[in-house]
Amino acid sequence: MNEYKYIGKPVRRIDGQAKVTGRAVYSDDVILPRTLHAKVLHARQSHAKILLLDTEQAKAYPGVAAVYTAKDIARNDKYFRMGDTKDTWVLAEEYVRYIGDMVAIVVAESEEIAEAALRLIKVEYEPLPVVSSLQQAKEAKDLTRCDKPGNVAMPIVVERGDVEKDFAQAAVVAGGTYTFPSLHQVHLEPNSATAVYNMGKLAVYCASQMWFHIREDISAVTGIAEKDIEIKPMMIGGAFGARNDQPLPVITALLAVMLKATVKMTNTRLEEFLACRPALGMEIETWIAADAEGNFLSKKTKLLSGFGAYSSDGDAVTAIACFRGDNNYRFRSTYVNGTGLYLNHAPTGAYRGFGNPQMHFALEQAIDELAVKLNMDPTELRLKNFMHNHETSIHGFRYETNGIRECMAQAKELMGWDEKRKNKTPGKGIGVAALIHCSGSRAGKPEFAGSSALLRLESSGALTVLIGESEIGQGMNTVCTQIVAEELGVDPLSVNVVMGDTSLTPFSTGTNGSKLTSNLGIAILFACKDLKKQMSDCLRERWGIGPVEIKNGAAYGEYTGEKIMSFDEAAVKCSHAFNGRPFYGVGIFEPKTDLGDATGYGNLAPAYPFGVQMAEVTVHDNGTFTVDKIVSVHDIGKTINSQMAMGQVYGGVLQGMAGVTLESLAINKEGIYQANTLLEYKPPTFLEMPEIVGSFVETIDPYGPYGAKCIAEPPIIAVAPAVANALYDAVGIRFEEAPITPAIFRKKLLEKQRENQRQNQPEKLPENQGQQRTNPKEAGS
Amino acid sequence: MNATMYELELTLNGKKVKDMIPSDMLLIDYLRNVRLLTGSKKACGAGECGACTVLMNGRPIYSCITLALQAQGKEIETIENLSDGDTLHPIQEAYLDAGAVQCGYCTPGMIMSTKALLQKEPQPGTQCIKEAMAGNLCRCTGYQQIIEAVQLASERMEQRRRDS
Amino acid sequence: MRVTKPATLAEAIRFLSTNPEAKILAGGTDLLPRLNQKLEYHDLLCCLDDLPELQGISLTAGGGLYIGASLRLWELAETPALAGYLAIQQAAAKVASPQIRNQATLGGNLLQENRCMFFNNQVPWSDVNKCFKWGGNQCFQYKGSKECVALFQSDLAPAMMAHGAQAVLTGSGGERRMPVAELYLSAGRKAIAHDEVLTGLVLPPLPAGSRSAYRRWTIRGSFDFPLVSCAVRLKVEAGAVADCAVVFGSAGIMPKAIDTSLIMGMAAGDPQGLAQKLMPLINKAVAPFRDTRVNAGVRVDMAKDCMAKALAAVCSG
Ligand SMILES: Cc1cc2nc3c(=O)[nH]c(=O)nc-3n(C[C@H](O)[C@H](O)[C@H](O)COP(=O)(O)OP(=O)(O)OC[C@H]3O[C@@H](n4cnc5c(N)ncnc54)[C@H](O)[C@@H]3O)c2cc1C
Ligand code: FES
Ligand code: FES
Repeated sequence: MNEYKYIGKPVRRIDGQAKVTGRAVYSDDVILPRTLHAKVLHARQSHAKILLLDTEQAKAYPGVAAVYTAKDIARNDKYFRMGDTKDTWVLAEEYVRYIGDMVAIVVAESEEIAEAALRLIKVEYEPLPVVSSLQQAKEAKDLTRCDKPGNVAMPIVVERGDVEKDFAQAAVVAGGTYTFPSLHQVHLEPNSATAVYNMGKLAVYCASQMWFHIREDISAVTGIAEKDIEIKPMMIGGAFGARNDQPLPVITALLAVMLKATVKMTNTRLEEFLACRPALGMEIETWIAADAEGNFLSKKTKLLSGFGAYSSDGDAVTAIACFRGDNNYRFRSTYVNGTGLYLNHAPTGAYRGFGNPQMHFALEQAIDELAVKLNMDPTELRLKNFMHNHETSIHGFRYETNGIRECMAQAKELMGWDEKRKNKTPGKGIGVAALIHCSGSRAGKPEFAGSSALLRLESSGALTVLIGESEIGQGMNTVCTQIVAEELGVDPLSVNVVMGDTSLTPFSTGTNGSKLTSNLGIAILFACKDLKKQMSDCLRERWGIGPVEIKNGAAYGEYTGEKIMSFDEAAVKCSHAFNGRPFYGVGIFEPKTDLGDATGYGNLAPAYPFGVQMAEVTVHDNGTFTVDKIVSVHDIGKTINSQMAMGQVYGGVLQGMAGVTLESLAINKEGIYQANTLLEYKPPTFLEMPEIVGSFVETIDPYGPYGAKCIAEPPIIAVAPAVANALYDAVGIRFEEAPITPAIFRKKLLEKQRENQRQNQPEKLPENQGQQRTNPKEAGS
Repeated sequence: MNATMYELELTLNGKKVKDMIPSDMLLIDYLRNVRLLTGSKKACGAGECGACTVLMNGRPIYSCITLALQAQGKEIETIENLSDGDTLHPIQEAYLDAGAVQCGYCTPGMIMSTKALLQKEPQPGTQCIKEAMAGNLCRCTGYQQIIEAVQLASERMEQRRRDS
Repeated sequence: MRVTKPATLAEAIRFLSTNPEAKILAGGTDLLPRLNQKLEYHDLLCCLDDLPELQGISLTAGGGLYIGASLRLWELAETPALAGYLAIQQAAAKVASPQIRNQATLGGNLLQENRCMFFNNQVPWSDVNKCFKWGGNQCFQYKGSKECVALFQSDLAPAMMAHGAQAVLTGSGGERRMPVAELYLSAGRKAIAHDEVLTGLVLPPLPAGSRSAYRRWTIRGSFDFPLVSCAVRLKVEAGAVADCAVVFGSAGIMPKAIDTSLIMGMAAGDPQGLAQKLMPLINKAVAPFRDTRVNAGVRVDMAKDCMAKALAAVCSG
């Protein structure tokens, strides 16, 4: 294996110093002169017709610059480019369709004035039936939207192979219906943006995972050409998918244009809950058919996903939920019927894992059910059915490297799986779940799959990486410097990185799909190679020096191996040879992947990360449970930054665990989020941490930089099913619904107790005996 | 409706300061908007996350649910006071070395809580760290590396005390 | 909104009696979040957290303790003077989070607003579709209820009650005292006049052989209000229960004390079996209050658990 100087090492974050000193500038820290402040009036009804909207009093309030409603906005229907459905408006027109839907905007001299004026806007609504659950939406008695009959936002029906035949031949069938709720990303920094309009041009200071798509959105609603819009990237306080589709910067930009002014808007935490884009809740019925030895034959899935009132990223997320999980195992056939449904709550979108955690919650529990029926160790059952290297999965994924078996072996070791299964401690349980994801899926984006990067060398020797993606805390800017440092032999802290300034960087489709290290990393590597070649060519052709090789921070004679001049001297020579121009290394990575055909078949990503996650739980005498330990082993390809990679594992695992045990938006039947505060939503604190044991399997992928795949999303994906499977192991109860609240846990425990009582008194209820599923583990011991 | 003005005098990051402020101004707004100390963040405005944590007379409080006039005559310390020119505070160094920073939005508040903790309890055990820091949410790190950073800072500060 | 900061208690009381619209602010950790979240409005606040008369702990003539109402919770939790009143210290040590305990006062804790998942979660229609808390005439917890049934979730109130604390109120008319339990009226109202300040608490002396403990149940280990809690005080003489107080917090619109005579009737000597004997009383003690995570059944289970643990703690010593 290669010895690297910076790759694989715990190199310090380049933005770390700014962050630990409080000097890092986030969007709300932008303070510009003569700034107006905007506040939005959000709908207070889940579904209603607007009967009256009177803004006169608000307009007259001293200090108010403008009050706008839908009719003031010429391009009100041009928001939002990502969903193919094109069904979203800037401001609500005739109807409001979720609590939080935007009805009017006040712009004023201060935030306080804007807030005071908001209260003077008169709105009257005629309430309409509210569609708040997937079942209700499916029955379509009530409509979420009068312009969309049937509540259906998107159907997917795909069959590969002969599902009915395979099910008919099966020795065992297992599965059920699993419900995963809409979760919130809870990025800690609320959205904020400042837009500066100046003589036909626009600059917008904001946070985003998709600078260029935000620019496209802004252009669409303002009518200003993209080339006249500059997005100024600010430091970003977390994203997790929440900054894929953000109304706030777009609206701020629109207001700046309408008022020819500088406008700032910052969300409150309440607005982050109400008017952003949480994850899709899903209800997944899935059945797996297997032969008597436990070889998987087929899988049948019906999936309902909740889009909310408008589409946002719902279609892409639903598609991924429908297909991705299948690819980890060898199936002869599979059938999926997915329906995206409109609901009267906030539009939904991306959250770490992009639909994959929802499906894994169903699939990995169904596999466990199968293991129970087959009386097999669930790790053995999975090992029997995992895909191999160089195989193509049922949906067309081609695996150059697949470390899933090594992951399983390591996870078992780290959990003490065999030992714990043999010697069961009462009240304790262990569970396993496997996962697959993509390193750089296109997520339905038609433009292109790859990435490009620029590496600029100035005469001073200063190196700057210019890329169109975002640093959202995952540490990509540090990875960039590590790659440049590795290739050129310079100090990583001396490399500058510009991420997302649309006036300087190449176009990018965005920061998602865990594609940065794997795709962008390669582009940066290529940019380094290109720059080195240009420098060497220049020194030879213009200065007669060389041929040289640029490495270790200097130029070396290619044949002599002797140092000829320092890197900085070479930089001066190169630049001066061309009248001071900077040198740009250009790197382009174009993965050999498919967008997927009409049925979703295709090789979506250049590489696929795999993983195995295990949970250990304790059920206490008082009827509560705790998650004690989570083991998370990932086929990462090659670790680029050991410390940051582990940070992704810790963070992702805790999010995954919280999603199944703590967090909840508690959406009620009126479509109301009953948890609109951090206090009630309940993100985990220091005191909810389980012991997390992370580990990596390095498979060295042929495509990724130095063999790297990705690690940002995978750690969240299979935690929920691992916990649910561990609970099953502990108490013999299947938790098909997340989150497993104390109320649900108690209810299920009581049901189980009653069932056990019945079992102990067979003479009373003899007819139940036959249906009783005996737990093979209990039977065997 | 109009807020009366209040003459606020306090020791801010070691310096005595005096400002005329609206009497209903929150401490976080005073720090960020009047004093332009934007290191402290407002992420919930309701005492539910800890991003706005500053020290009042050495103890961490939420500046988003404290009025500026409640700091009258007191000492307030913010993240801006920790580093000295190019020299970072050992806690800041430890956060960088332990990988305890991701998006960084919780970081100023976390570091202030760490500072108060280590002042009171120079060598805290893991459970003690968890309890003392439990008023600060972090969505990115899963907390593990923050605990390691606190331990590292504690060791280094202890070493420094022994050396001097 | 205007805020004043009187320098003395007399000045504060004068101000309150001449400004009926003024609302008292102590640490602010209960009131300010609601103001920030636009759940409540006031034109005038009167800030008394630093009033010298409301600070400190002293011995009373009768051998008990006097605690200033503006004592911060961290001090309450850590002061050696209170070492014998363990339930109070345990309660104070668990409130919210470290930052809140550094800022919050004892008085504010005892007089905090009642809470409800509908009102406090900022359900955005709440100020249109007004519930009692907004001055409307409906309750979303219990449809048809004649008044607000929001939950009183103070940690310190049950602990103070278990120790028989008296509240000292000072107003234009002078000073009066009442048991802490009597501070709480229906619908979350408090028995305190507008121009009265809660100046302090008086704790009776600790009887020999008496111990106390407090246990609470929350979803998370930090930030969260108790979903139910229990304070117990037990006096054992010659191996038998001589006196016992059991008070549940977050059990309804006010803390719920189990009648001591009832307990004594059931206790019959040995403290060990006490928890088991008291279990049947709990079903009625805890109101079936809705929440996003728990239901009435869980609340009762957890109340039993809290009581059992608190009693176990005082018995094992
Ligand atoms: C995130 C969060 C979590 C919380 N968790 C808990 C918890 O777990 N347990 C718990 O008990 N509380 C909790 N609280 C509520 C609150 O912080 C505490 O109860 C705190 O003790 C209130 O004290 P304060 O001095 O800050 O009150 P303030 O907000 O200043 O006052 C509260 C009320 O009391 C009145 N008041 C205060 N002092 C006096 C006085 N001397 N005389 C007359 N009236 C007075 C005020 O007018 C106001 O109505 C939490 C709060 C938050 C924001
Ligand atoms: S912003 Fe102050 S606690 Fe969240
Ligand atoms: S580093 Fe992002 S919230 Fe802590």
